[in-house]
Amino acid sequence: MAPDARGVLLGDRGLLLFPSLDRLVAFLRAYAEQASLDELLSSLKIRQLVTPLKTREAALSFAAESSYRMDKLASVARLSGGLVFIGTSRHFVRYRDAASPLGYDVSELAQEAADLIVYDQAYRQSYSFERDIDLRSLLLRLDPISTPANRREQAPRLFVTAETGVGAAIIGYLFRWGVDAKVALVEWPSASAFEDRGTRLHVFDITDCPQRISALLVALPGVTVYAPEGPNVAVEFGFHHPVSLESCPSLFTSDSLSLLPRRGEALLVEPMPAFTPVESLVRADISQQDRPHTLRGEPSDSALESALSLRLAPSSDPWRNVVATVVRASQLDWLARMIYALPSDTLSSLRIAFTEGGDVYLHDAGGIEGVPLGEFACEVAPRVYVPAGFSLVPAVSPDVLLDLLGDREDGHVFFSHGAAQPARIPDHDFRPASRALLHEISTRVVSSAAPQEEPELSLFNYAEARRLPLFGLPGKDAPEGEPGA
Amino acid sequence: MSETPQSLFEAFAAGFLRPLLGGQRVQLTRLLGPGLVPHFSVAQTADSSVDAAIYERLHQRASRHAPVRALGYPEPETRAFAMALHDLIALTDPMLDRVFARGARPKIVAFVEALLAATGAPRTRGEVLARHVLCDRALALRRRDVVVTNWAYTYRFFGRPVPRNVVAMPRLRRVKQKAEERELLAIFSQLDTEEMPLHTLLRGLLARSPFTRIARFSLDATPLFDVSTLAMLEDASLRQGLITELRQAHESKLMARLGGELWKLQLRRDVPPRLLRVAVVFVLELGLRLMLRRDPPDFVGAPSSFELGLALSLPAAALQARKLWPELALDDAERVTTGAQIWAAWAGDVPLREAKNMIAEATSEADLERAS
Repeated sequence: MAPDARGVLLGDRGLLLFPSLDRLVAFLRAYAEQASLDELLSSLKIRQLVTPLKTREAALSFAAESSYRMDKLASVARLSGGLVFIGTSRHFVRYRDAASPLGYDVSELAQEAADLIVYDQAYRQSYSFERDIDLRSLLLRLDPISTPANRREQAPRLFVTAETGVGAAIIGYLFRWGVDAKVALVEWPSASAFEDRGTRLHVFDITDCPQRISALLVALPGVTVYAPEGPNVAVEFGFHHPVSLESCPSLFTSDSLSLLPRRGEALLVEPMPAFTPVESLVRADISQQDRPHTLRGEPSDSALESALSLRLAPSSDPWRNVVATVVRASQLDWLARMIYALPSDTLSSLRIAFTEGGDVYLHDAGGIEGVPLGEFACEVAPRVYVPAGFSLVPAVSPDVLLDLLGDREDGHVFFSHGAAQPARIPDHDFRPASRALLHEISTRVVSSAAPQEEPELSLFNYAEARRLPLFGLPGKDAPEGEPGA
Repeated sequence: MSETPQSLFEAFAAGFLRPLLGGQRVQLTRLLGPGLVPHFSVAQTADSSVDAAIYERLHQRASRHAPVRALGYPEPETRAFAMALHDLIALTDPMLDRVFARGARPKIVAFVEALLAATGAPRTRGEVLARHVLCDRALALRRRDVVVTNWAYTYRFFGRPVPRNVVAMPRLRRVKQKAEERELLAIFSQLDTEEMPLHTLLRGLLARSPFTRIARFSLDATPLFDVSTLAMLEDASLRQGLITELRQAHESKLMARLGGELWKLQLRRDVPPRLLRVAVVFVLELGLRLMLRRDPPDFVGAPSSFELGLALSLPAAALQARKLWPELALDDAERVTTGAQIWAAWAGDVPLREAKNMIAEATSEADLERAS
């Protein structure tokens, strides 16, 4: 123990003593809001202490480098209900306060057999170490706190965990919408002997995720979305960790990823698996045909008389402009049931056309995603549609395509797989679904509450006849002070 | 078993008020003394549906006359008014004309007077309408008088159900029944005596219900326009409701009565011009409403009188003075302009001149008041 340049008595280490672990957590929360926990981490030790009378307390010790650091820690610790000591080895004396600005010292050291002895003005207390508490595991055990809706912000980067059943679908979905995402499959050993296999999750690392997609993922069962609170730690979307994790990034090393759900245990991905772009995982169709021989072309004088026809070919391009769907006659019952479940905004923008063959064409300029039925069609040129997953070959430009469809007029042209000619639906045949599908409603007249006809004039009966009508009658006399008394 | 104030209130609400407003058979309860007013003012029925039904019917019927957002019911003075109404009807019970019961009549008259004294003038549109609804429904009540005769005796059941044993074995006992329904107002006229001044009490009731007093103007010969009725007529909605209510009345009698009332009001020098103006506007608007009817009255065969002429001259006088003339649609303005001239021609010069003077007096003073 020696005074520093300001004359404040300092030891090697500072000690913060808290009556319980939750007070210590409160201290960490408060301190992390205004300073970096990283500065303390190199020398930080958290221990659970036990007194000779078996009372448990929590202690946080660290290197007391300067009285400035100690002052800062002391002010926060006292606010959180803790006591501040300074000392060396196992002896710690009360740190300076307003009553003694230069600190306290003891005249004689106790010789008790204890792991830790603190000296205060009025008492001396010895402790034994019960166990060490790892700060990282302590932080991962804390439940995240809900963030108010008005303070939630869309994070530029998101981590998403998905059960393996929906993981593959999400890979395809993210690929179709061209989202910059990487995915890894993570496996944890089973926690119980009764589980025959461990936990497997797809973990997505999504950058610049559109808000509508993140909202969809949040609402999807089996999928959990995490927003980063540090380089390698993320908390479930809509929640935040009670301790500001950004103040202690060194706890979460780059070879691991910690995911904190709103309830339950934290998911620790360690070591960090290889993340693969979703594009590389989308199923690709491999043509089994042999590569055609290279033909040598020779100039010919004869005119080219044969005309080429447009064909549909499978395509691995992402689906774009999916604005229409073709529901076959066999699926009409499903369509009818689904119409009842559609939200009002989808129904209001949906246009529908019925054709002679019984097929139904649905069109929604904002995207047909709301109707998960039928064969989706992408708009490749204005009012020209090809089935999703296919493209027209030769890959002519939209202008050329429109020129080729000279007799289109104002119709919508739908190419379909297996049909020799595309179908053309006049634009006026598309009507709002909400009007085309519903019958007119006939109303019945309901009269208003007041009866129109006057009820019949009522008869009246006298009360039971009595020999003495006023005998025993209450309230015969006027109350005092009333007129007529 | 002796009655308590609450048991009387339950019987009064469920047996008298609810059927009175709902159009069912009304069952009077025991007499309601003025000492019950404090309890009845705050009492509620054990069956909350009774209070709800009363309020709903009261509101429905009141709303037919004028828009009313919330009625004051249960309002203490309206309840005292209903109690007075109940006792007034109970006073017509023939069973009170028996040896030991006869002495109760003066006391019941005192009950009604005390209850009326506890009822002040209405202060809100809701109170005016609530009292009118109660009073109007009560005055429309009828009593079923049944006379049962058998081979030996004759029984009279006036306003009471006929016991089953009286009409049992009708063939054997040669039972005959003769029923007659009598209006309450006719019973009042029959029983009105000095000892039992039913008409006086009825006028007291009408004085507490200004809307009914003008709507049933033939029941009361005293001046119609007083402070309470004119205060009520200041409310344009109530005025229009009253004019609608009066459409069933005999036009010439109505207009003659109102013309006379106006003249009496003008002759009283203590009436503020503001109240005179209210009365003039009421009669003027009533006249215009009559003209705009599908079959406007022409008063050709009506007996000529100054009072009727004064009332009929008001539209023409207002038109010429360009005062108090309401804003009308073009078609309506054309019809009433023609009608006013026809009525004024029928009335003659003297009533027209007096009508002009009356309008000038009502408006000039009012303008002065406004300017000050």
